[in-house]
Amino acid sequence: MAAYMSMGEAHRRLSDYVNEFTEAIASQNASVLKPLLAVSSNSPYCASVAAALQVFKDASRLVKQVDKYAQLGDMLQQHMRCMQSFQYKHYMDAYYALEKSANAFLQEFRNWETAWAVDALYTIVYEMRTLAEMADREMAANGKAPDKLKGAGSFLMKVFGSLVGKGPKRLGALYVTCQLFKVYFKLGTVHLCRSVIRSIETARVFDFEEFPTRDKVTYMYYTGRLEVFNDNFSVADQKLMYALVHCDPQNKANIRMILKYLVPVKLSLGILPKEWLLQKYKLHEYIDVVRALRTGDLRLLRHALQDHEDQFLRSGVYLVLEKLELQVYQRLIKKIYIIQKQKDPSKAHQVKMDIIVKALKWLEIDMDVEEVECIMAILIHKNLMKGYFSHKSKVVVLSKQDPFPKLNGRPVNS
Amino acid sequence: MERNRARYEGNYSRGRTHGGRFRNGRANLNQPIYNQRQDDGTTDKFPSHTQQPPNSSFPRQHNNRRPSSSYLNSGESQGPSNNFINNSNKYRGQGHENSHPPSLDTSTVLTNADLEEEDSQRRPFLTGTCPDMCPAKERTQREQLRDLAVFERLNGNPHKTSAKLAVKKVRFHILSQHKLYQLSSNEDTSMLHLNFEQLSKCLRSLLDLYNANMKSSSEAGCQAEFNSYYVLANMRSHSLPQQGESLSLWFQTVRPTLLKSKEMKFARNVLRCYHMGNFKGFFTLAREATYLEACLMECYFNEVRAQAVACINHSSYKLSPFPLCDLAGLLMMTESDTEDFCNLCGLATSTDDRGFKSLIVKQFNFSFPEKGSPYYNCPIIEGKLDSSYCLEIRKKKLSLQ
Repeated sequence: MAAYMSMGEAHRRLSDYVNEFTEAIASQNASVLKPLLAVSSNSPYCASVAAALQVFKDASRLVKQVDKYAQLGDMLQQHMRCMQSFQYKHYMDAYYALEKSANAFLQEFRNWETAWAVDALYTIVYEMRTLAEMADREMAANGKAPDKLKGAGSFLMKVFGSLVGKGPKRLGALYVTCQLFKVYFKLGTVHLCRSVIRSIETARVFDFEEFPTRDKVTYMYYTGRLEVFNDNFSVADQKLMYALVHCDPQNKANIRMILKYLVPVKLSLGILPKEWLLQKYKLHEYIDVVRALRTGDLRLLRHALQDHEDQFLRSGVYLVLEKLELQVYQRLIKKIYIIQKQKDPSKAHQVKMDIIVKALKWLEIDMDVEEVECIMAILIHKNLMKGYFSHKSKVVVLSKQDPFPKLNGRPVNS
Repeated sequence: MERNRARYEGNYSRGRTHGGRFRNGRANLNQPIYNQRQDDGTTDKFPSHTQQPPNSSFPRQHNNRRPSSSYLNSGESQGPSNNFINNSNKYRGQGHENSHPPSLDTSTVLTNADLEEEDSQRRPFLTGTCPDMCPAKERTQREQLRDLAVFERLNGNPHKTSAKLAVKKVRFHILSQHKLYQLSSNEDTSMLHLNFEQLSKCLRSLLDLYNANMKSSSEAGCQAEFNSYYVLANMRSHSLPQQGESLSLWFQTVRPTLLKSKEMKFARNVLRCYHMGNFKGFFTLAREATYLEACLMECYFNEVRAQAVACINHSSYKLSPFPLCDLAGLLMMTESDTEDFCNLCGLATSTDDRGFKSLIVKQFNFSFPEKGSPYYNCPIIEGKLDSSYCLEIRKKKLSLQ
């Protein structure tokens, strides 16, 4: 780009941009329109328009030609201002301008009967979310309470509303839903997802299968994560598996994201991944957790939770992993049982609680016999062990048949 | 100042009541909190717009007056008010065995030192905060009459609140939860719910305050304490999305250093035991808890106990009844309360020829007690109380984490 741009050059660039926009609107061509609207996402025009506006400051007469085809003259002017502010890193200003542009665009969009502009609307929606996040960061850095992303969320709800209907525009609803999920997850206001989920899943105008696969995958990923937050492991498994199965196999980053939540869910259902899977997708934080489950090593589980505590808490899976303790206890008792069987098969099914206390002590875990008895009672009650315990003799008597039932895809009885 | 402060002690009537609202150091609900017991053993429900001290000999002629204005403005004591003050002093901060809980007068909690700390500008004598404000006109009127509730206004700005006051509010509500639980009957748990709602509200706004003012280090010591209360207060809602947000979600928003604090670790251990159904671990932690932690944990006691009984009934050796004294120890109850509780769960107990009681196991008619399992007194909790309720509410953290 020239260090100095002449007035003529600036005028030419802006005219070209406006002409392309006008042409796209006139011919209802979304694939041409879409890149014209990009700001933060690899926009081929942003730098050019921004630089030109610095020189040719007032484009209001230039944009008037757009109004012949749609009431988008003002919209375009605001959009160009947005590009200018963005290029020079004034993100709050960029967001303000974009907000005006976006609202004007949405208004016209409602008037168009066909769904030709849906793809362009996606760009507007994406930019609103992205610029809002950047504006919020700028606000926080200046000591102000950030609120732009929240505002973007409201705008996205308006867009969603414009897509709920019988016409072809409805196919865009799932994309907007996923953008809303991203907003709510970022803001931590995850409970707001509920209303939009209800619309998607119960509104008669929507048929889930009709939506584009990419959107379905994203939708299942987020709704699966919501189920994990509420410990609904069977449902979480279904949704995350859907996302995994339908995800582009080349997209390793997305697969990794899905697995990050799917692994704890599967573990809670007693299904352990092979270590190579964890290595392949760089999910090293789960390696020791899985090992602990395989070997009944309670100390290893607790250490693994401690070592990756921040990570697990941040992703929201810590409490899920903590609950795996019961399965680790089950495995530990099973190991003791197996060892006893080798020594004396006739007495193997009787496990003295003192032995369990000793085993735990070897694992550097200090537990008295009363607490061991308590854990045994729980394991039996939840069907992780079959048998009974004797309070008087402090012994666990295991059933001769299948004393350690596998979960096999069912969550632990609560 | 001392005299003026004394004038706050005891309860004076408010012109109006709101459900769950906190006024003048007393949670003023739509019905009177205490059924005032007379010496002749009858109870007497006072109309809700007046408040009487626990002492029944307080002369009734002040019933319909609003003594507050005269209390505050004039410098003289007025006859009965002296008795009033003396009598309420007697009850202040004491646990009373016989009839009613002590008057939890938190207006005394706000000392003049506190007020001075807040702001050096001239302001009404009484300041406070209240999340639900009366109309401005009434507030102004009462402000002029020096008649504001402790928590209604800070420096005249209705939107400002002070962390110090919020801290006291939360501690008060936790304490009240314990006391109300003791008082409530099976039929009427509304006050308990209301208080708990208030507790949650205050706690949330306090935590928001902490998040907004992260720079203030003087309150840092309390942050861990109150974040841990949030965990303890929300353990049940973890898997019930309609009741509140999941704790997994909430943990994402807490700073890692806070999550590793001593208080948070304690709360997280309690959470772990609660989720696993580890009743032994749970009650061991209850024994180690501070007074306020124990008051919060108490909300889950009967639930954990029921789970424990279900577990033991299911998993025990069928020919060997489980001794009640052992069960009582595990569940932090007396033996007779334990027997009562087992019966409530539909399980029979037996007595051998030496008078030794046990729970018969492997019974089929276990059921979780319906809402309103009775309150079982817990002297262990009482034993944790610092010398007075006021001190418990006001305590400053002696050691910062």
